[in-house]
Amino acid sequence: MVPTTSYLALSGVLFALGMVGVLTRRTAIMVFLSVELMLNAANLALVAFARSWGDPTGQTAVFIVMTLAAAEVAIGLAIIVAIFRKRETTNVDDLAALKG
Amino acid sequence: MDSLPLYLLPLLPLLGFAVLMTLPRLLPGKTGGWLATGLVGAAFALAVLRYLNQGAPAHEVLWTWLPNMALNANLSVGFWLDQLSALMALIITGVGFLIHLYSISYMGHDPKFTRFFAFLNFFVAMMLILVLADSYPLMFVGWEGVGMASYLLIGFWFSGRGSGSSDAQERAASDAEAVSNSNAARKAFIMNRVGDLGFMLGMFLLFKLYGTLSIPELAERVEGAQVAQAGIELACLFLLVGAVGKSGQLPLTTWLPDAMAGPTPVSALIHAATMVTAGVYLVARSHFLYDLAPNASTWVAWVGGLTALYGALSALNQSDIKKILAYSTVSQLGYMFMAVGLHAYSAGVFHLLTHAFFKALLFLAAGAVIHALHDEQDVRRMGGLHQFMPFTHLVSVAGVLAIAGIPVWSGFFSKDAILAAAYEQNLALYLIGLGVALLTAFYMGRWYFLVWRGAYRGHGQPHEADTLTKIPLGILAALATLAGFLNIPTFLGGGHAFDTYLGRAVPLHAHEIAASTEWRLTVLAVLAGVLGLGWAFLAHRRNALASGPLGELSRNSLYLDALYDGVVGHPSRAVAGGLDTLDRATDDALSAVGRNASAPGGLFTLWQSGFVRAYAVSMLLGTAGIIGYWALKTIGSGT
Repeated sequence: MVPTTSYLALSGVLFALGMVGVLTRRTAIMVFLSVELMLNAANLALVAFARSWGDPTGQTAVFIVMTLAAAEVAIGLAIIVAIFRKRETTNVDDLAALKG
Repeated sequence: MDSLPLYLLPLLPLLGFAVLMTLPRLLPGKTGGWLATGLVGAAFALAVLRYLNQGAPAHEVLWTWLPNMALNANLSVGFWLDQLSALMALIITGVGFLIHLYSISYMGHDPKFTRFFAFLNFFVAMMLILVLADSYPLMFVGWEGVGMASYLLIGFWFSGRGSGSSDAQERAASDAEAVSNSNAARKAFIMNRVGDLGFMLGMFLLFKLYGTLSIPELAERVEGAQVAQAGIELACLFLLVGAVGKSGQLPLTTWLPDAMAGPTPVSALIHAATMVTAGVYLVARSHFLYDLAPNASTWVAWVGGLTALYGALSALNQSDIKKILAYSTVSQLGYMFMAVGLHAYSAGVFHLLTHAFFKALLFLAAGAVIHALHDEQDVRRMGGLHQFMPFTHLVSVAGVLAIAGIPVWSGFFSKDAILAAAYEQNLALYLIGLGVALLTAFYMGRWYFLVWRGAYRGHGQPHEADTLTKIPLGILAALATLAGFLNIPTFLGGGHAFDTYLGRAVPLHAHEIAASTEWRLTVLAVLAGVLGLGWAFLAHRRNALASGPLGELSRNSLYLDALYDGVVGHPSRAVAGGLDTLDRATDDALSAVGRNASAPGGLFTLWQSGFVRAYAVSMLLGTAGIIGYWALKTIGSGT
C-alpha cells in the first residue's frame, strides 16, 4: 500500500506547481488552469487523509468540492470569454482597471 | 343554462384586457375595439342569462385563501349573485356595452385606440369583481381595480393630444393639457386613498368583531352577535369613509369634477354610471350592518343630502359642458346616499339604475357635441345646435327631462321615491332634497338652453353624430325615458315591481304615508322640476344664462378646492420645501466630509497595484502566515 506521505508529497508538488503557475503565467486561461491544479492538489490531500483515517468525511468533502469546481469553471470561463470580447486580451497584467 | 359559472362574467373582459395589452399588433385598426365590445356584450348576455335563471342567491366559491391557518380567516374567493348584485352586473355590462360601442366611433382617431379599450375592459372586469364579490376583501380587490382603471383613463391623454403638432403654440397648449390631465388622475388616486383607508379600517374592525369578512356569513352572524353597539357604528362609519371616497361625496368630492379630464366615454361609464355608484352599492350591500347602526346611517343620509346640495350649487355657474354634468353627478349621488342612509335601499338603488341611464346618455350626448365642435367644451361658445344635430338634440331632451324629474321620465319615479322616504323620516333632508330638485332642473335647463337653443356662438360647421354613435344614444334615451315604469308606486296604480324584486335581497321599509300625502309630495317635486326648467327658460329669454347664479362662488365650487389647498396643500408644500432645504444642507455637509476623507484615503490606494499576480502573492503570503502561526501554536501546545 502506498503510504499516505507519498500522496501528501504528490499533493504538495501539485500545489506548488499550481502556485508557480498562478504567479508566473500571464494568460488568464493558464492562471485559471493553475488554480484548478491547486484545487485538485487539495482534493488529493483530503482523499489521502480520509483513507488514512478510515473516515469517509474527507471523501464526501471532495465530492462537494468537485461539483462546486464544475460550477466555478463554467462561471470563470464565461467571465474570461466576456473579458476577452470586451478587452481583446486575457493578459492579466493588462486588466488593471482597479489600479489605485 | 345556470351551469354557466359566475366567474366567466369578470373573466371575459379580463381576457380582453390581457389580449389587447399584450398583442395589440395582432389587432390592427378598430378590431381591438370590436373585440373588447364583443366581450363585454358576451358578459352582458351571460348576466342576462343568470338574471333570468335566478332563484335563491347563488354562491360560487373558487378557492380559499390561507386555508387551515391559525388565523382561520376563511378568506374565500367566490362570487355571490343575489338580486342586488345581479342588477348591478346587468347595469355594468349593459351600459358598459353601449359605451364600448360608442367609443369605437368616439375614440376612432386616437393613436392609442386599442390601449383605450384594454383599459375599458379592465375596468368592466374589476367592477364586476367588485359587485359580485362574496367577501369584503375580494370586493376591495375590485374596488382598487376600478380605482386603478379610473386613474389610467382620467390620465389617458397624459401627454396631451397635440404633442406631435408642428405648431409651437399647439404644442404648448398640449403640454399644459398634459400636466392638468396627469394632475387630475393623481388627484383622483390620492383622494381615493383616503377613502380606501377607511374601507380597510372598516374591514379590520368587522373581522375583530365578528371573525369573518364573508358577506353572507356576516349577514347571518350580525343577527345574534353580542357586539358593542359602538363597534358596529364605528365599522359603519369607516365603511362610509370608503364609500365617500369612491363616490365623490363630501368631503372627498373634489376629485370627481376634475376626473372629467378623461375621454368622454370614460366620464360616462366610470364617473357617472358605474364606478362612482360603488359607494352606494357598498352601503346597500352592507345593509345588515347599517340597519343595526342608526347613527352611522344618519351620517350617510346627511353626507348625501349635503353633497346633493353642494353639487347642485356648484353646477349652477359652470361653463364646461362636462363639468356641469360632473357636478350634477355629485349631486345625484348625494340623493342616492341620502336614500340608502334612510334605509330606503331600494329607492337608492333604483335611482342608481335610472341615473346610470340618463347620466350616461347626457355624457355621451355631450361627447357627440364636443366631437361635432372639434373639442370645444365651453357652453358659452355653443348654442343653437338643435339645427345641426337633430338626433342628438332629441336624446338630450330625454336626458334633461329625466334628470329634472318630469313625469313620465325615469328620474321622476326614482327621485320621488327618495323624496318620499326623506319626508317620512327627516323633514330637513326632505327640504334639502326638494330644493336640490329645483336647482337640478335649473342647471340642466341652463345646460340645455346654452347648448341647444339660441343662436350658434361658435366657429366652424357642427355635424351630426355618425350611426355608431347614434345607436347607444338611442337605446339609452329609450331606457332613460321608460325605466321609471319598472317601479310605479301603488298610489299611481303600480305594483312597485322593482321594490318587490330587490326586496328579496335588501330589506324594504314599508311606506306608511297616506296616498293623499304622496300625491302632494309628487306634485311638489314635479312643481320643483317645472319651476327650475321655467326659471332657466326665462333666463334664457333674457340672455342671462351665460353667467349663472351665485357667480364666482358657484364657478369655484364653493371654494372647496381652494380650502383644501390652503389647509392641506399649502402646509404640505411648506413642509416639503423646508425638508428639501434641510436635505440639501445635510447632503452638502456629507459631501464635504467625503471630499476631505478622500485625501488620506489616497494613500491606501497605492496598495492596489492592479497586478493580479501581486494580489496572488499577497494572498499566498497571508495564507502561509495564518497557517504557519496556527501550526506553530499547535506544536507549541502539543509539547
